[in-house]
This record gives sequence, C-alpha cells and structure tokens, in this order.
Amino acid sequence: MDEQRLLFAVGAMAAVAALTGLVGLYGARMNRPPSDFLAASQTVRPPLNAAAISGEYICAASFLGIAGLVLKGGLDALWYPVGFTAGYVALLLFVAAPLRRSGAYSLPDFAEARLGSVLLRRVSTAFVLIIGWLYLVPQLQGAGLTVAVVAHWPAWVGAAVVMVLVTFNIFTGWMHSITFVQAFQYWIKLTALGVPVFVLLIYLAGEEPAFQRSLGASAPPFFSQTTTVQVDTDVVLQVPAPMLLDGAGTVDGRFQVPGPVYWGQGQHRVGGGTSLTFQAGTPTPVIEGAPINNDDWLRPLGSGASVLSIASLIVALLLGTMGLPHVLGRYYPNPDGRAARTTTLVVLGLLGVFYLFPMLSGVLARLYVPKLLVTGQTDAAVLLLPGGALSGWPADLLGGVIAAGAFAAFMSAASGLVVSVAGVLSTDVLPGRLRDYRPATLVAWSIPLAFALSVSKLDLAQSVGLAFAVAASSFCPLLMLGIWWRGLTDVGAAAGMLTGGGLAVISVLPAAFGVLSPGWEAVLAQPAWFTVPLAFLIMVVVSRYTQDRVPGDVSRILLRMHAPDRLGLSKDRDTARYGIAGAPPRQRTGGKHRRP
Amino acid sequence: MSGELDQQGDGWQEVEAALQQAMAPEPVKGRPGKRERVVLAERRSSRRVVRTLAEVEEQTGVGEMLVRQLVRDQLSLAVRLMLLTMMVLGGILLTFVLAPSLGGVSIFGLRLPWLVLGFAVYPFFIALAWFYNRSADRNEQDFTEMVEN
Repeated sequence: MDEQRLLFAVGAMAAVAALTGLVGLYGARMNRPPSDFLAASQTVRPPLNAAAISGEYICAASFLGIAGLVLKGGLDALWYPVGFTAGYVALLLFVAAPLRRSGAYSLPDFAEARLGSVLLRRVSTAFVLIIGWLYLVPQLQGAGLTVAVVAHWPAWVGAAVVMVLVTFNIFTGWMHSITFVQAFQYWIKLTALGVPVFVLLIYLAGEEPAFQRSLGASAPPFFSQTTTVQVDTDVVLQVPAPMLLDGAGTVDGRFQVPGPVYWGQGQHRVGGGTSLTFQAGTPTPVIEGAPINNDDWLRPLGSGASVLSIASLIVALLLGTMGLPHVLGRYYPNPDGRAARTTTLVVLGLLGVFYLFPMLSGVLARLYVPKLLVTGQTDAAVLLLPGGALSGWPADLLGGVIAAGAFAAFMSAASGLVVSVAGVLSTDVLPGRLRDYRPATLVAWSIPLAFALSVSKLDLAQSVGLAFAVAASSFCPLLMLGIWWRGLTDVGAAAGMLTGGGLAVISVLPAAFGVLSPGWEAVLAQPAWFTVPLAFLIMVVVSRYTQDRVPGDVSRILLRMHAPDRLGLSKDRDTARYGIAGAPPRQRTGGKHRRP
Repeated sequence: MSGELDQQGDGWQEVEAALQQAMAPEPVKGRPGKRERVVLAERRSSRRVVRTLAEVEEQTGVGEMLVRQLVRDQLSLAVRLMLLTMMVLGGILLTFVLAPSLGGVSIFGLRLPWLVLGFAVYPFFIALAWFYNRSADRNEQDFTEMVEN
C-alpha cells in the first residue's frame, strides 16, 4: 500500500521533472544574447511572463499552507489568498510600469539609480537578503513535510532534494529558459491541485446528504472511520464531548499503557510520541486555539483571530508583494512599461483561478482528514486529502499528483528566490564578477537551511507572511515614495527602511523561531499595522529635513519612469556593469541627451 | 555592446511600437479613438520627436510642467483606485465585525462570506486592474500627443 503510494508520487515527480526539462530545453533553444545572464532578453510576451510570475509566486504557502489554514481556521484563512492576490493590485497601481521603465533589475538597483547612494544600496541589499531568506525557509519546510508525509523519510531529505535540484537548475540553465519553465510550472501546479479537487468534489456529490451538510452543523467534525493519530509534538486538545478512545504514550501528563482512555469534555494534554485511536463517529478533538464546531469555523472571525491581526495581515500582503525580490526580477523581462501592466492584469486572473483550489481543498479536508486537527499539522491537509476520501490506487494516484505539484511549488519559488538572493550576493556582497554567481548560490542556501531545520511552530502560510511584513515595511515605502515623490532623499529612505523594516524583522524573528507564547505571537507575527506607517512617516520626515540631498537629476529620473514607452526614454540597467557597485550608470541614449 | 543598439534605438522602438500596435488585437472594438492612435504612430517623424523629447527631457519650462502634470494625473488615478481597493477589503472586514448575522446568510447553499472572500473579490481585482490599465494608457496618450504637437 505504502509502496504503491510512493511509486505514484515518485512517478508523478519524475514526469513533472522530465516535462519541465523538455520545456527548459525548448526555451534554451530560443535566441539569447550572452549579456542577458540574469534577466531574459526582453522579448517575453505578457501572457507568458504572467504565467511565469504566477508560477514563481505560488509557493509552499499557496499550495499547501492556505488549505491547511482553511482546515484549521475556516473563513478567516481566506484573507491569505485574497491578500496574496491584492498585492498585485497595489503593485500594478504604483510600481509595475514605472519600475520597468527605470530599467532596474533588482531592488538595490532601483535604490541606487533613483537616489544615487551607495549606502542606500547596501541597506536595500541587506533587506533583499533578509526577505529572501525568510521566504526560503517555508519552502524548505514544505519540502520536508511532503517527503515525511509521502515517504516517511526524515524532513531534511526533502529540503536537500529541493536544494540540490534548484542549484543544479541554476548552474546549468539560463534565465530565458527559466521563464518558460516557470510559466509551465504555473500550469503544472494548477493541474496538480485542480484535478484532484474536481475528482473529490464529484466524489463528495455522491455522499450521503447528512455527511455533506455536516459542514454547516453546530457540531465538530467527526471521524467517519476508525482512525489512529500519531501525535509527534506536545499538544493541548479541546475535547468537545465525553469520549472513549485508545491511547498509548503520554496522556494528561501521565504515562499511558496501551489501552482505553476516557476523556471528559474540556482540555486534555497529549505528549509527543503518543498514539491515539478514535472510533468511527467520534467527534474530533481540536488543537487549542482553533474553532471546534463547524458553524464557528464557517463564520467570520470564528478562528478567534483579532480584527487588528487580520487588518495587519491585509496591509502586509497588500503592500508586501511589491517588495519581494523574486517578483520584481520577473518584471524586468517585460518589453516595456505597458507590457508590465498587461502582465500584471493577467497575473491577477491566473492567481484568482488558482486560489479557488486551495480553498476548496481546505473545505474538503475538514470533511475527510479531520485527524490533522488533532496534531495541528494542518499543512499536510492537501497531501493527505485523497487518501482521506478515497482508497486504493485512485487515492495513491491523486496523492502522487498532488505531491508532485507541491514539489513543483517549492522548486519554482525556491529557484526564483535563490536567483534573486544569489544575484544580490554576487553583485553587492561578495567581491565579484559574473562568475561568482555560482558560489553565491551556495551561500544563499546556507542560512534558510539552518532555519528550516530548527523547529518552527508556525504554519507555512504564516511563515511566508513574515517575509511579506518585512517587505511591506521596507521596500514598499522606498518604491512608492521613490517613484512618486520628488522630495525623497537617500538619508530619508535609509532611515525609514532601517526603522520600519528593522522593527518588522525584530518583531517577526521570534515568531519565525517559534519561541513565543500564542498571545505574543498574535501581536508580533503581524507587525505591519505599525511598522508600515512608521516607515512611511520617517522617510517623509527625514527627507524633509535633508532636502539639500535631493538628487539633482530627480526630474529626469522621474520622467524616465513615467514617460510613455513610445517616447523611448526608459533606461535599462547596463548588464556590463555587473559587480561594479557604485559606478555611475551608463547612459543608453547614444549621446542624444545631455546629463544636467 | 549596447552602443550599436543605441544608435538606432529610437528608430527601432518606433518600428516596434507600430508593429505591436498593428499586431495587438483591438481591446475594445469599434472605438474611434483607437484607430487614430495607430495612424499617429506610423506617421510620426522620429527626428522631430527626438527634438521635442530633448526639450522635455532637459526640463525646460513647458516640458517640466507637462511631466509634472502626467505624474500628478497618474498618481491621483492610482491613489483613487488604491483607496477603493482598501475600502472594499476593509469594508468586508468591518461588515464581518459589525454585522455578524450576515455570516449566516446562504446563497445557493453557500455562505455569503465564503462567496465574497473566496470568489467575488477576484473578478473585482481584475476589473479594477483593467480599468486602471485603460485609464493610465489614456493619460500617457494625452501626454504623448502634447509632446508631439
């Protein structure tokens, strides 16, 4: 049984890898000038580029995390996909076209081109690294989880597989083929999640009406068959009704020899390494902090989240997307600013379609895999869903397809992030030329791996949310004020980024390590509500006091960013300039225009 | 290596712009304004435009004013749409808080809050983005026409 499941999973992954390789080869055959190492030659059409952006954006948090949060928290979890998508609205309105026309490939590029300050470039570099690393951690954790669930291998194997494959891809592939690969990955992920969800919805339609309606009942989800749950870490369970079960391990602080346990209504502690067996029809005990009854789960704010934390999350996701290094790098291959806008419009459509499925899988998981509510490891919901509803080879096949899609998600997000982080490391941190890009790739991995292997209590989606909060508090004000306000100075920008972004980092790091009590975590893991306004405020105030540092060519730079593409004023980062941080950007005007 | 490209840069961009416009499907059929723009791009004389552009780029009085006006128009468009987005998202959250009874309303067997957050917001985002792209293009077109005349 287990062998068959593993076989299907590995087979599906191999098929995805082979198809991806073919697409990559096809892409690599396209014409590419050698100067365009990091960004594809700018000939990528909006639909292709939009699929590539979406493919890279749909990461562990989207593929596994959202469904897990929906299973646990219900309606409140839907703010995550809404925020992930709304981020592209903000990006479109304020950043897409002007950033493309500025010709900046990375955020440090933008900072330097706009304000001509090496100091600010350094600050931006630091934040690219922090955000990239924060974002990489959940990808590696997701890979570890998938391998543990599908094959029962230790978690580090999954992280290692993703690292090796992505590094191999970067060492051998070129950016243009990566555009094709990432675009293809979007469709892989949509299929890998969409098809199983469709099959399960059809299956659900054939179930008894009472079972279908149980989602709206004022009762907890229940085990539809006798289920054994293995609890790996200590949990506190809310038991909805008196129940008799079998347990072995540590229950309520006492050693439990294998045998029957009686639980009254209320809270019960279960130690790590305990196995619990529930009879069919037993209501599901739910991990502390999550809604117990299905009707609480269905209603807004039923998860117990505070309005402030939800509002803060919306701010972080809405404004953080524009500050993600791997997203902005993908805008560079757009031919011009107008194409950047069209691309974003298509991205909104692609994400809107995709995010239907994590939501539906979360709802289905509430019916079919309630046992995850006992362990709290709801990130595995999507992976276990087919096995919870079906049995035999259909369950194994669909499970394999989902696992392959999940791996595609970790791979594409991780490779985009590693490319951005390594790119910044090689141009700005390591003494460098283009060839140092490869060792930089290895350096880029080291820190997130260390984090991923240390235990984090956060769910994948929450973990990714931390990176968004930092991006929203550092790069969002830099981009918005840099693009739209003449008065911004380098000192103001650096002060705002260091204060807002720094506070955000300080406040999310304890959450990332998982050392906080739930009460503190609720406040500190969502710092955007105060760090974002603070960053804006400090940038504006300090810039006002340092007005003599406004760059002399600010009008020309703003013109380049806002002038329509047809006038041909936009400027691309000169690729020959790699590794020479601080050198003045070369004009691409062929001597037609003077610098003031 | 980019020097050669630069020499012919403006000419190429013109040809490309004209080609793209010729090849791109008409987004809105039957609009008289669209056809006019293609004609404009084709008959534009590159040398004249380069001269006008130089004036705009060197920020002489008129050029500076035009650019400031463009940036202001684009910014006010973006800010208005951003406020709308935030009002819609914040409004949904606030409605959930103030009128919890709405959480129990079902439409076609599906709860209203799930329909709103799970489905309805996405078409809203797309419509808003489409409207923004159209309006931002129009602002830029106005600017281009000002520069070219």
